[in-house]
Amino acid sequence: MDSLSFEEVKTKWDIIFKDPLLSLTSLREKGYKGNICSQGLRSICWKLYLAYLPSLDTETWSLTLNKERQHYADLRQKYITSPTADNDNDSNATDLSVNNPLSLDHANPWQEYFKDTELRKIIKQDVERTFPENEYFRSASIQNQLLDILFIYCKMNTDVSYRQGMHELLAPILWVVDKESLSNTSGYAMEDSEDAIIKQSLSADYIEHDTFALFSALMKSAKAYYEYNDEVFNRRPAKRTGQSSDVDYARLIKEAQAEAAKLTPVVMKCNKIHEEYLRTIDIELYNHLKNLEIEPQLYGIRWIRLLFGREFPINQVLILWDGMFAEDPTLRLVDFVCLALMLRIRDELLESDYAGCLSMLMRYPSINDVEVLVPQAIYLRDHLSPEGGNNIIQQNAIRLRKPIIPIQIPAQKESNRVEGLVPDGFVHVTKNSAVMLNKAILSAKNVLRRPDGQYEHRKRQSTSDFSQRYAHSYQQSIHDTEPHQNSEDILRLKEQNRQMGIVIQRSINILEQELLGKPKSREDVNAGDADKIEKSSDGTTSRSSFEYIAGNNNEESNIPTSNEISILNVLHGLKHIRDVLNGSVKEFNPHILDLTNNNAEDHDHWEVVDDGVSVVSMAGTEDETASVTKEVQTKQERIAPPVNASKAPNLEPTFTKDSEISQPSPLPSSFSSPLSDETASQSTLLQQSNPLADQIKISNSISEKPSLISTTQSRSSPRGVRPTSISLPKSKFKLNDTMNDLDKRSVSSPKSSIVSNSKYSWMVEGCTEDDDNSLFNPKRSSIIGISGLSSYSSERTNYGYLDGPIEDEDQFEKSTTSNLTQKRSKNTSPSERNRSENIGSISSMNSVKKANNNAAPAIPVEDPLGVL
Amino acid sequence: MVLVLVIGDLHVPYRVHDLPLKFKKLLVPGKIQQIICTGNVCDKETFDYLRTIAADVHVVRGDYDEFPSWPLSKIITHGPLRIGVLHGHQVIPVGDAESLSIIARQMDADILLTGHTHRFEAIEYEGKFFVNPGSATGAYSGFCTEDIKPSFVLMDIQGSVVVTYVYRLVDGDVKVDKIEYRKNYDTSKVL
Repeated sequence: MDSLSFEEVKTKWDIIFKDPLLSLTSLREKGYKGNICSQGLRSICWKLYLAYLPSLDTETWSLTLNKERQHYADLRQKYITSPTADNDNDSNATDLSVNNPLSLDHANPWQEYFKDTELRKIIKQDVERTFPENEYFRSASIQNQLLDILFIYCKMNTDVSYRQGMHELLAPILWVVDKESLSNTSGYAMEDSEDAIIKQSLSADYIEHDTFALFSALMKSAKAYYEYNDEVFNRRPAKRTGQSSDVDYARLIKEAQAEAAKLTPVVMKCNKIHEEYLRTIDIELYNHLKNLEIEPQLYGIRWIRLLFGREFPINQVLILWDGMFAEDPTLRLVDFVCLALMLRIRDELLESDYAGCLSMLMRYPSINDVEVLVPQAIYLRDHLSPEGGNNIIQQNAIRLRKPIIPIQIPAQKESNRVEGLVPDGFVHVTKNSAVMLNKAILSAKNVLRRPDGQYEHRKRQSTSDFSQRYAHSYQQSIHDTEPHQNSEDILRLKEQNRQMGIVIQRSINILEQELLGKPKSREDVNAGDADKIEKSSDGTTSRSSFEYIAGNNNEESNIPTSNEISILNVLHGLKHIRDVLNGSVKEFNPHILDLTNNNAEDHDHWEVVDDGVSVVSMAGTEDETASVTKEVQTKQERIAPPVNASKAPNLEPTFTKDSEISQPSPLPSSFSSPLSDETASQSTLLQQSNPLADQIKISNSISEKPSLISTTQSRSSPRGVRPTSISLPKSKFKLNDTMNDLDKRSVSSPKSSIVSNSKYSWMVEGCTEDDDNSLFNPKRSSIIGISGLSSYSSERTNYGYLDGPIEDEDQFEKSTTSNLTQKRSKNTSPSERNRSENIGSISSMNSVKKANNNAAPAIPVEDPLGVL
Repeated sequence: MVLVLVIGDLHVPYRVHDLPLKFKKLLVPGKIQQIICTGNVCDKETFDYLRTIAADVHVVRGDYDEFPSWPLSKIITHGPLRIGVLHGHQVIPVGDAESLSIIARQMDADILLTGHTHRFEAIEYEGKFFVNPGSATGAYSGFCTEDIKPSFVLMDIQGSVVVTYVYRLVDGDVKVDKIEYRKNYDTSKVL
């Protein structure tokens, strides 16, 4: 094996220790969520996970290392001895009549020696067969090291002694430690302290010592898997005189042994996994295996004892172990990894007969994403319920299926499925945000290019000829550009984008109804009739965006107020985004959004399609984002100047009727919101459909742009002054306030249809079924924003009319990860949570429609590469 | 670490009917890895008994052995050690150190195991180690005038070091002695 040079080791060392947020917790988290062990020094990570090295303080390592290594050296001296060695203090040693190889005296050290020789022989048999395909383990010196370590462990733990399988736990550890050892460690005392500690902790002289320490630490918990209940096992049933023949007696013994075998800890564990856990999470699979009479210990013992070492190739095993050690050095996770493995091949198992099931379980099919098993197992541990199992099953379904194969998941399960993805999605985020974003972009790209109807259910047939026509041509390019492993993300994002489209469509419907005051327009939005809304959205998505403009103008012609024009512009952009998301428009066209910016060429463009509706043009030199805000604000000013000038800025009147404006807004509000961020990111994603765009840059821009947008928009003054001030750090509060105001107005003026309960009722139902999840899922910032927002608003007011379905909310709660839940739990009591979730979903709707007004024009049109 | 039993001159069944019981108790399977027999086992049953103690039995032909196929001499190597085995009736004068030394040089052996005299002997001569395990049964021999005591030798070979345990039956008790031989490379090397 090639050992690493010191420079390489140093680089890997830095990966671990140069993290400014380094802590044991973060390192553990990275262990199962990321690939710190693969990138950094796995042996160091394992030493930390398994508590061989007590802390991250490298200064203390020297002491610990010396102590542990000396301990092993002592053990070695103690146990691997020759009976001829001089033991001066032992009187027997000098008495040759006792101390000779053939002496039958019990004090004879040779007796011990012969026993040890037997034990070593047994161990050696197994050691010689360790990883037969791996050249490394064929070398005699390595085998001797394995043998010595196992032998010493057995001598120390005589109750378990050696059991087959231990060598397979030890071998990977030795492999890891040896691979990362530094052979030339001479003179490290001279060098600076960090180099010295690196060399000391990875010294090749102490491979065996360190391996033993790691193995012992691992066996502290794994030992139970090897325990054997000898007492019970050897208990013979009393032979009753004159009872029966020897054959019967032999049968009795056999039965007694079978009974005893069930009391072996590892078998009990297998049974517990099967009877208790699997039954809970997947009754169907449980019944199937039960009917086939496949005993869990048939495969379970091997899985558990070897920690899945035989199920996967060694490099995958190492990754799996990283996660298991990191999450819990006591290996409690093993049960749930078993479950995750079962669920992974669930469909195949359900289709197989006895022989098929058995062979599949005994020889586990190879999987290429072993790193998801640990997060799945953690999820199962935390959600030991049929829902939890269902989520993992569906996650696997998405994960395993190729994008071409249609997914037939019932609509009612949709929210579960999306929600089940969340923990996995978080893993990807934490692993490497850049990679994740790239994946997201690719996925988004894919959605844009291939939006045909495989996910179209719920009466939604927006698959226009247009999109189908492009589906084929884009398929080719997808295969070139898209890494295979992104397929699950793509699948996910496709679905989410579609749902996002629905949300935007609904928002548009409401907006149009409100702003244009034409409930009987083409998009006839009958409040409360969700079916109709969807139908209408179906009808419209197939229209091109230009038709929209025409449609908008038709509707608008009844309200010739020039104030509304800019709103229409924004609405138009919003519709375009919706179309792109739905897939009815093949590509994102930044020019459509540019229209609202009133640039000269865009203005021309607008007039071509517009039926002579003039656009209130702002100064062309204005910053784009600012100009939009300004424009909107100017309108607002015209419509209704703020009642109270001393009140904080309030942009809402732009979208509401005069009666509502008269309600003073108690809090500063703004259109900037996490959702606007989200829309911006979404739009940036859309731009990514430009094949020339650099993915990494885009991913950067995603992370940076939303903040920029919010900076420029959040603190716009009602007088239409160009916004210059810095945004408040927590824009979600502002959105929340906006929400709050809106709701208050609804209380005060029930006539206002935008906030009437009947209208929200369908939104509550609709969005909690799927839309909120779709919103929450891919963009974490918006998740946190929304949840924080919802919790915040729930503190302020209670909304009696919000009693939407709460089951989905519960699931959503489960699906979110710790930072989210922490955030939320700070703000709300559990009793308020359900309500606040509903509010959150409503607010998401409202904020989408508002945010898009600002966010859409703010999309960095002149900066498609995201270089800010 | 290899345990090698050196045994010979049993003369079963012609002079003695069996091994002493106390020896039989000591010689149990599972401890000894190899048996080197210096000959004069005589019958097949005794040879089979030896094979029950250890499977790896090396034997040379003595002047009373019934097996013409056995070799007259043998060389066994244990790591750096070359062990020559000869019954010893070919050596004249019998048991003479100088004559044995000539044989050892001829065989290029570090350790020469011989029998025939029925008397235990272990000497280091000219850097070589000469071991005569004596007769395991204490059988009569014309060469030996004094009382013949049953004896055998167990060699613990660790690398170039040989620890020799001598088991003798004296007045019905097993007496054990230990002799250590270390191969000296300087003397055996010819420049």
